[in-house]
Amino acid sequence: MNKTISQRNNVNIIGNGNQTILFAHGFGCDQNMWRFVTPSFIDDYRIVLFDYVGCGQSDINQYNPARYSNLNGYAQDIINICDELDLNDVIFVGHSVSSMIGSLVSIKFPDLFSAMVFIGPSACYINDTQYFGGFGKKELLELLDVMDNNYLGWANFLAPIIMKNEDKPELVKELEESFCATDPIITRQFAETTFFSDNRKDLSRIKIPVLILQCSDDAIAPDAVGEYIAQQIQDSSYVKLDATGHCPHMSHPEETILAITNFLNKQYQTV
Amino acid sequence: MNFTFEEYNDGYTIYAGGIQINQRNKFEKALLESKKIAQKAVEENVELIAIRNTLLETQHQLELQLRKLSRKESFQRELSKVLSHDLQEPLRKINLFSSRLLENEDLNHETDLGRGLLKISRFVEQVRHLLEKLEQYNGLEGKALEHVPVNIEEAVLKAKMDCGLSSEKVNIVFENHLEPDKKFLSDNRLVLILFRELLVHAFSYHKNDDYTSKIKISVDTITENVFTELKDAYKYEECLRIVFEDNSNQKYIPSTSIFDLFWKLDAEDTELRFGLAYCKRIVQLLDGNITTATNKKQSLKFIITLPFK
Repeated sequence: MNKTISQRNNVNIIGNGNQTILFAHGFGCDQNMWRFVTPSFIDDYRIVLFDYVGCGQSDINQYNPARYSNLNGYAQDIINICDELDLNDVIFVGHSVSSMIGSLVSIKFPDLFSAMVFIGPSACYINDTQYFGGFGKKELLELLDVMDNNYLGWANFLAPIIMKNEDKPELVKELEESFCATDPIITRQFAETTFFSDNRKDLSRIKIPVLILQCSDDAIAPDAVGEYIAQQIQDSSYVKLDATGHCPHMSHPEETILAITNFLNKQYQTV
Repeated sequence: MNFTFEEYNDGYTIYAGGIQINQRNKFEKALLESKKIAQKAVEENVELIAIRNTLLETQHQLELQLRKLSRKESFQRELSKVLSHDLQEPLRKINLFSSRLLENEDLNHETDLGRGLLKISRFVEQVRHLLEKLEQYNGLEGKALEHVPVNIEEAVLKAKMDCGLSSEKVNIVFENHLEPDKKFLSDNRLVLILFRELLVHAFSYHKNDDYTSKIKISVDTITENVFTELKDAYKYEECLRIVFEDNSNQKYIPSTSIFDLFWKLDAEDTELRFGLAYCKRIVQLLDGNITTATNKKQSLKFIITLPFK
């Protein structure tokens, strides 16, 4: 029997509102990472959570290396979900690479999302002559090499760098376990697709309001990247969080919730 | 060192064999290397056999496809002949004889017979027009494409002129978001016909002559999977996207049936329309895709994606 898109992407719907917020997780994560922020939106919004194919509890048999060699393949997951659930006027909240995945969806279907929230986004991770992405190409190739040769060592090395917040070791452990729980080949390809994508030219094509949440001391998406994205998007709001690391929705959920709520109140004029 | 211990009733023997540690490492390394090479060769051989089998299967499928194409081509030729001659000829004769009858002194347009003959002539004209359009539609299939650089804005303006639409009748806003060095290669004639049909379609529902159609055409790029028919095949390429937005507030419900032959706007619509089916066929011939969408403003959008070459 053919599985539905909702089964394929392990879609879960909670909340009581009319308007939908779609939460899209980042690289090496799953929908479970949103658990600290979703309770604050549950009364006013319908919340759609999902796992990209190859992540979390999605149907791993549906993973197609050719499809997911490009962020457009992941964007197609979101399009499929919105299509099956007949969603429109959606508020999209994307963490890390999902910000650019959401951008691709918005460019393809400009009327599908009414607003977007980017948490720790990066349009391009590799430094360029006029652009600071935070990484050299060689550095990223070495990181992929480590993934190939010592996956567990890689997970053990990267999780604390991404999460920061040494005072919350349980979060570092959770991220490390999330890395380890996913298929190493799929995660390696997702890493390559993520770190070698360049979506800088796409930013100016986004026509809807976007909130950019930039963390302090983020080793994956430095300040310059968040500022660059804010400059390129026509209708953008930029908020620099006190939260450190790359996962403020896990390490500093209150600050993240407040920033999102303020943005949504401003956009939809609700109190 | 390797040792073997052998025990007898009255004693035991110890056999010892040794090799210098650096020699042993060397031999082990060579053995592992040889094992790796042998394993790789086996894997490659398995892969080659699989590829060969796939190729043979593909060859067989290709042969079947070619046979099917050949059958379709011959059917197409027969259909073209029927449309362009066999069906046209009796209609021409009906028209001729009814005209002759009308010319007869005893018949005039006021009599029942005269009115009946006039009706027959009108219907015959409609059917002839329908057949001509069907012939054009059918003829698209065999058209040889000529890929040349196409300027979309020029094609839109030319289409507007060809349709005889003045600026009072149709207000076209054109937005080009392509990078200046981006070249779009396609068949200019077909692109022109495409815009002509879209403009005619947008304009054809306005009964009121004073109405001004508001059309917005924007052009940009989009990344699409080039495989639309093959299951589980993916290759992403940049395509040209044309959004043709008709803001005339017509009562459309977007659906795929809009591109069917003889699609009707509503039950009161008596015309047999070809336009959008014709557009779809052109877009398919250009290896592209056409879909519809509405937005909050309730305008109808045609979204056309075409390969750059």
